[in-house]
Amino acid sequence: MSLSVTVADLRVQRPGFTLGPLSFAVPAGGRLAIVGPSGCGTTTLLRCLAGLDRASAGTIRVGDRIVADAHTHAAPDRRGLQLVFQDGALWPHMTAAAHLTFAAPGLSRDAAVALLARGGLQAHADKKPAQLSGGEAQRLGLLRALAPDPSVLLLDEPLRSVDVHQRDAMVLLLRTLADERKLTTILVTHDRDEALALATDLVVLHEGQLVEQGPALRLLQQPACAFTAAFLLGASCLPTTTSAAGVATPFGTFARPSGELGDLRLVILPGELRAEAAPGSGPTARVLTVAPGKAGFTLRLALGDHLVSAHCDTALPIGSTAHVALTTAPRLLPWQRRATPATVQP
Amino acid sequence: MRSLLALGLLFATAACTGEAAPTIYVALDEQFSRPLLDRFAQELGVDLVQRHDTEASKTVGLVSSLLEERNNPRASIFWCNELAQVVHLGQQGLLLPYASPAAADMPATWRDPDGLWTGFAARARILIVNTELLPDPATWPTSYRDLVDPKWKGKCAVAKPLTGTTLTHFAALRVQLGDAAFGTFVDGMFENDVQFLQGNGATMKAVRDGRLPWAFTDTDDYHIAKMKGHQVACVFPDQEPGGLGTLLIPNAVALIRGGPAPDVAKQLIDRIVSRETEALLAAADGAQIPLRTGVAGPKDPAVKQLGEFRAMAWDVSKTAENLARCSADFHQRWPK
Amino acid sequence: MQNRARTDLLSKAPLWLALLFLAIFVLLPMLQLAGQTCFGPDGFTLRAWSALFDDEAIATQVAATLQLGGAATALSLLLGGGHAWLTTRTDLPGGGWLGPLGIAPLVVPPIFVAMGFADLFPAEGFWPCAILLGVAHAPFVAVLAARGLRAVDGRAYEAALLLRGRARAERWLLRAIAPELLAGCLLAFLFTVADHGVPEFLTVKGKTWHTYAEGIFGRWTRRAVGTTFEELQSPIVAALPFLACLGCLLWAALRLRAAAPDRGVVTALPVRRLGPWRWPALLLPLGYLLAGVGLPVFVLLRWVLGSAQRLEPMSLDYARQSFQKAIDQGLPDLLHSVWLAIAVALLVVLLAVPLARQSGRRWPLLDLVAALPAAVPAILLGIALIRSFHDGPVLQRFGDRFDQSWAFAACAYAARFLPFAALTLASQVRRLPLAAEEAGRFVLRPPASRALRLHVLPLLPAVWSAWVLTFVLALRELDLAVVLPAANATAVRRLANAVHFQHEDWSGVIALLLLSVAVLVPLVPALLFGRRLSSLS
Repeated sequence: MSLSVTVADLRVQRPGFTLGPLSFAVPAGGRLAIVGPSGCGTTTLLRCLAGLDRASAGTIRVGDRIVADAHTHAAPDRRGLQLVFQDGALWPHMTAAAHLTFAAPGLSRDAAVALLARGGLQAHADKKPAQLSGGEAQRLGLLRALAPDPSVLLLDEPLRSVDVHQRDAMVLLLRTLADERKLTTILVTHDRDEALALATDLVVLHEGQLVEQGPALRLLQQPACAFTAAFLLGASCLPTTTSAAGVATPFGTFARPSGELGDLRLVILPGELRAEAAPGSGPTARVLTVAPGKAGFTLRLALGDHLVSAHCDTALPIGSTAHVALTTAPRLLPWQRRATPATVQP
Repeated sequence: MRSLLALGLLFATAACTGEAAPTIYVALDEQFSRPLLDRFAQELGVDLVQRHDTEASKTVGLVSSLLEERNNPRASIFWCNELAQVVHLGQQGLLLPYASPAAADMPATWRDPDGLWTGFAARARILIVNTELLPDPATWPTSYRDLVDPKWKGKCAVAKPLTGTTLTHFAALRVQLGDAAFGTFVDGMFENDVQFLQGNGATMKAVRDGRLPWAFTDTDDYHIAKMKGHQVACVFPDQEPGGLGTLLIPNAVALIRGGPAPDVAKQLIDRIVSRETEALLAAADGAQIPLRTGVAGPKDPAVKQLGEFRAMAWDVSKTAENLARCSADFHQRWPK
Repeated sequence: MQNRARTDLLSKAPLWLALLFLAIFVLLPMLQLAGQTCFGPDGFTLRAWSALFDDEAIATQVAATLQLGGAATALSLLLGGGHAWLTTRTDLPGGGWLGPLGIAPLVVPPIFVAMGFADLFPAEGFWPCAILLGVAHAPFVAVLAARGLRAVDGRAYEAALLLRGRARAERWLLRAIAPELLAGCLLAFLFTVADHGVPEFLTVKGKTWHTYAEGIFGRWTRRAVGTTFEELQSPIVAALPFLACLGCLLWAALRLRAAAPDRGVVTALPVRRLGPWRWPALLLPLGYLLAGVGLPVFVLLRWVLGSAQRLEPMSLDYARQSFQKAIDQGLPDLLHSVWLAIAVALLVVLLAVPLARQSGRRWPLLDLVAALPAAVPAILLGIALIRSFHDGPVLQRFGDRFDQSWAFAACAYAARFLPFAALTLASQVRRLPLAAEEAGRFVLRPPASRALRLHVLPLLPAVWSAWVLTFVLALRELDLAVVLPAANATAVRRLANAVHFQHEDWSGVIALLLLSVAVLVPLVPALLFGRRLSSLS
């Protein structure tokens, strides 16, 4: 039976770092990815959810039960959830089968071997972790977490130590097993592709703050802040200066969007910039790299202190000066904004 | 966790000794005393706890223990091989009188008038001579005064008088000679480059191995070296008419005041001071000299029987009184 | 919830028991001993401390101790470091099997090495003492230096070689293994300066100088006979600051060792060709093993055959008599030693595991507490224990006879050897992945079951090494055996005594049997389960 997970006003104070306050919820069976760059607090958040670390304030519920608040701190094995660790975190002295039988009291060896077979590890039942490849170890870590039939599965960058060729197999395995059991899954990762492959909803963190959350599709199509666009879509975010005349950008001055938006950035998605050798109305940039694309070439350019991508019909010499221009209407978005709590849909 | 608890239980059981068993502190060489005491304990049907001294601390270590434990005695009996130390303990009030009927035939000289201790089987302070280096008996030393004879400058040894029989020996000499004469004698030894070694074993080995022609030691050390085939001889010193005589240091056994199982302890003392024990100790490697007449002595004729040599008439009581002062003074003169 | 609190408490119980043990058997006795230096017959006084500055003997003893420690450690470095370098780095013939033998002299009690030396050479004075203590403690350097050399990545060395040439690369290598080398030297120094038995043995042989451990013991034996309060306390007063320094050194040594990189899979260092020195170089490891093991065993064998007597030539017949005497005289002591060592080693690992887990995972400073007993000379620890348990205001409550029992002896030995096991295990705990332990917290099993399966089982190889190390150290311990009445009936103490009394024949048998036990115990698992002996180092 899967359970929902609700996080309300969660804060974690550490010397030199503050996480939160964070609020979000995952319904039973939901698949959420918490994403953000390194050091943004994703792992800290996951450890608090798992019960490995204590939060300074806030409430965590699993189903109807409060597992952490000001007075409660349920141990990890009392939260009804399991965690898949980054590098498997296997027990070096136990065989693969023993991992499962120890993790799930009552699980017979035959049942363990059957579960291993789901991950293609039946031939490795009597091997110890040192004898497994990185991908096999990660699959064993996943199966160990699934063995006790948890209600919620937490995943800490489960694909990080899996090589490119085994990633698809691992994704498929994870999705299949999670779907079969209608598991609530919460994944943390710094990798956009990993998040999109394994989750339907996203929570974006930056410097310990929740900047945006919602369905992955919406965040990809309509990011509400520049950081989300940069992190998820690889957008270039150029700084702006706001004055009475409007918002000044390297591409000209534009009208200021309505509302209190703070630090505004000009967000340029890949393909929204065009480069020419001939002088135009736009700013100039130095050509760093040139790569062939479907039609023409994709250039990486240094625009002031910023790196941008632009399309060009011809291959400009590396080191030459190019003139760049926007091909779409300028998109001015706040760098980050405090997101409102939302529920992730199953 | 369970194993820890089990081990704790085991240790607790081991630590819980129930009623205190009779305990004997023994200064005599363990090789000789242990088999005897095991036998006595078996005959009496008791579990006897034996604590033997170590060569590192010698008798004085056990004496220190007894003094330190005076408010909470652990020992029932003290079997000491340095009489003066037992007398010293008696003077400190640590001993309980017990006149063993088994020692009724022991000469009165070797029994405390108040029954605080009973002497038996003695060692003599003798000169051990290397017969390869000094083949002619006429050239052998004959007196403690040879230590200050320029003829032997740098060629003889005595243990530092800090512990053991040498402490008793020098304390007795001091009482016998008086402070002034003894001081002159000590100065003479230093001037004569006498080698002050750490123990009687060391002096015996120095002679046995041919590093020195002669040295002071005890009869037991000499006898074992002789038994093992080394070329050594034994001289009972100061036998000339009017001479000081050879110092005889008997074993002594005493009952500790307030010690555990005093009744069993008394029975044990009866066996320790018996004629049989004296005979056994005489026949053993240590060749102890019986103090009773009629008890067979050591087989080696070089270790003389009582009556065959002039024994030093030393004042045990006065020596014991002076023991602490001597010990302190000697530590000044012979720093370790 | 209450059940859970109870099980949590139970799971913490081993740690609290271990800490309680350290407090009872090390901290309180040492504090009481230190306190007694300030309380004379007339109440509080600092006379003993002020007399420290006037007592030339103390300065002489401390200087002699430092000289002895320095000289012995230099020799340990030469022998142990040389052995490790030659067997690990070079194409020395037989280096593969000579390497693991570097630890072998540790099995031989230093007193046996002393007996061997003294039997064959004139063993008087400073240098013989320094030499034999240097030989006896060289295994610490040999084992740790070899470990350091094995942990250096050969590719990094080759990079240094290509960039800076041979001399600089070798200097780089020396720096890379410096933590291990230093840790080994500090351990050798510590064991040397704390040793009482060997200098005392040589003292009886005719030495004319002594160390502070001897000073302490010398005055302890006369503690109630003709000594003043200042005299009695002075060696202890002198020892306390010294042992505080030693404690810090030991802690630093073990931290250095723990901090030494454990790089996992590394490329071995390139083998250095010794060229024409290949065979002559064998002299160093062979000489080291000969001095540390061969010579004492040779002398013991000669004793058994009758070398210490002149009545008949050495023969097997005499050896048979020696065995018979040994069975009559020393077998109970030998058995007592073995049982005591087994109990001590068992107690030590049971106490060390929770301490190691706590210091390895949560309280690194616990290392310092755990290291303290190792810095205390055994003789001083023994004295502190006797005083505390005999008439101490708190510990006397353990029972009137506790300090006479073998359980007390086992506890005292365990207190002395606990640091080595605890620190060895702590460094092993640090090497185990923390995440794997965290993964265990999700397992739906009782905490005790999880602790056993996930915390203790992965430590088993290290636990076995710690058990063997403690067993061997307990088997060869002389200083505590001399001081503690309850440990008097041990083979090593009996041997030290028996040799003084010219009982070399049966003493030799007991000594050889003792060595056999110390060697066989680590060998048994190798024979039964195919364990590699090198894992013990």
